[in-house]
Amino acid sequence: MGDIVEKSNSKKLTVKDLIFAGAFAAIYLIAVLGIMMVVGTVPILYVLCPCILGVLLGSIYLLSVTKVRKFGAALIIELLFACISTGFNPIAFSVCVISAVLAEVCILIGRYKSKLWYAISYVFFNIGTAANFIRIFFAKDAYIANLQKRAGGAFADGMIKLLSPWWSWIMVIGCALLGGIIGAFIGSKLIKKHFEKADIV
Amino acid sequence: MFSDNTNSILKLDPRTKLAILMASMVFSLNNLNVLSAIICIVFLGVLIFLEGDGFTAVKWLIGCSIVLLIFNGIIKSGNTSSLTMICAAIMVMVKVICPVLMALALFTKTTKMADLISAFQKMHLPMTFVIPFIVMIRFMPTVSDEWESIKKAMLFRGIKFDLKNLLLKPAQTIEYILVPLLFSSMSLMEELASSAMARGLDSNRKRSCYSTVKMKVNDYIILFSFLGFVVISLIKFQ
Repeated sequence: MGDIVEKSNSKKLTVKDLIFAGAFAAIYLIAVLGIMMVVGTVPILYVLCPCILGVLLGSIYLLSVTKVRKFGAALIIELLFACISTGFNPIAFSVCVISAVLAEVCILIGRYKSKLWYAISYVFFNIGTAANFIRIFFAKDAYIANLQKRAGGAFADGMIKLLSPWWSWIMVIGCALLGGIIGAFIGSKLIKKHFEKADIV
Repeated sequence: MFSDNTNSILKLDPRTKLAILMASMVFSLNNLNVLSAIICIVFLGVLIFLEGDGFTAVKWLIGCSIVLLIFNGIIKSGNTSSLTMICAAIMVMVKVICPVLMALALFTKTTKMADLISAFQKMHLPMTFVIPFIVMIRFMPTVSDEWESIKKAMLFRGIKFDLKNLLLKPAQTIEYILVPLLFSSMSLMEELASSAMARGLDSNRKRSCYSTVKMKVNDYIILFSFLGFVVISLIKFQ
């Protein structure tokens, strides 16, 4: 018994933490899929996806990192998310990894205690949801040609209109950041209201 | 999920299924052609059928093929109404998502957890990656079941999960869906963790497994034919 207690106090991830991280990644992914199914059919909302996902999923992320409270939880969740959602595209994958590392650094600055830094880390973590859009900007012409062949018609026209001006870069990343800020706010409120009362965190 | 299917004709190695899953992800994100999407769906459907899950296979096969064929016909017919646009959007979704979901079904519904862990161990992957990955795949069907039942419970009380509520009242929607979902999954996670610890998942010794996990001739044939199909269709028919 003493052995187990000692393990859970150490800085390294235990098997239990790994199980929690994996299960939270599953919840995160199912929620992403569910929201994308509802949102994905309208081109304008499709571009706003990072913002919507950020607002809605903040509480899942915050609950998982405050539950584990060790280095690596955010990284594991983002890696698993990247494995499923980016299709191993190198640019999108590296965007995901970089955003997760930034989030881990934020948590590290807060010394795994500060609620504020946990909330800030979610803003960086949420850039990962925009990874597929950031990939598009690196190969815009190819993507537009691809989209016209693939979908054709009004959907492609709508997307092209949204993606062609120069400020669309700022819009997508800004969307992700804005969604992250709102999501972190809502998430921390929600955790305070429900989960801290129930002694889960 | 992850049950032993006794009526399977073909028993593939977990590594083969994993490779098929990855290849189908790459395929569906880069594929444009409807015909090759249908070939991929048929291939995966046959594999799921041979693995002994006939119901899932037939369901996916018929559903996806009919949707793709009909919508392709509507788009080719060439009238530019809003109906065509909606059809195109749905077809893109089906074309991208269905092969991945079918490969995921092949992977999750016909693999035993123990086989999967020992296959991963043979690949010499670090346990910090293996355990979350396995738990994630094991947990996905559970979470989607919970999600469905929560949606039903919300409908009883007259709250609907749709686009309007999602955009206009995000805070309330999150509260009503996520809080019960997270609460029930937290208790499931605790149980899963303690059952995994009781079976010694956290020991550092090499794990043994009842069944032998080995790549056979069948595995290589199916793996290379699928990879060949993906490469050829991505290079030739775009």
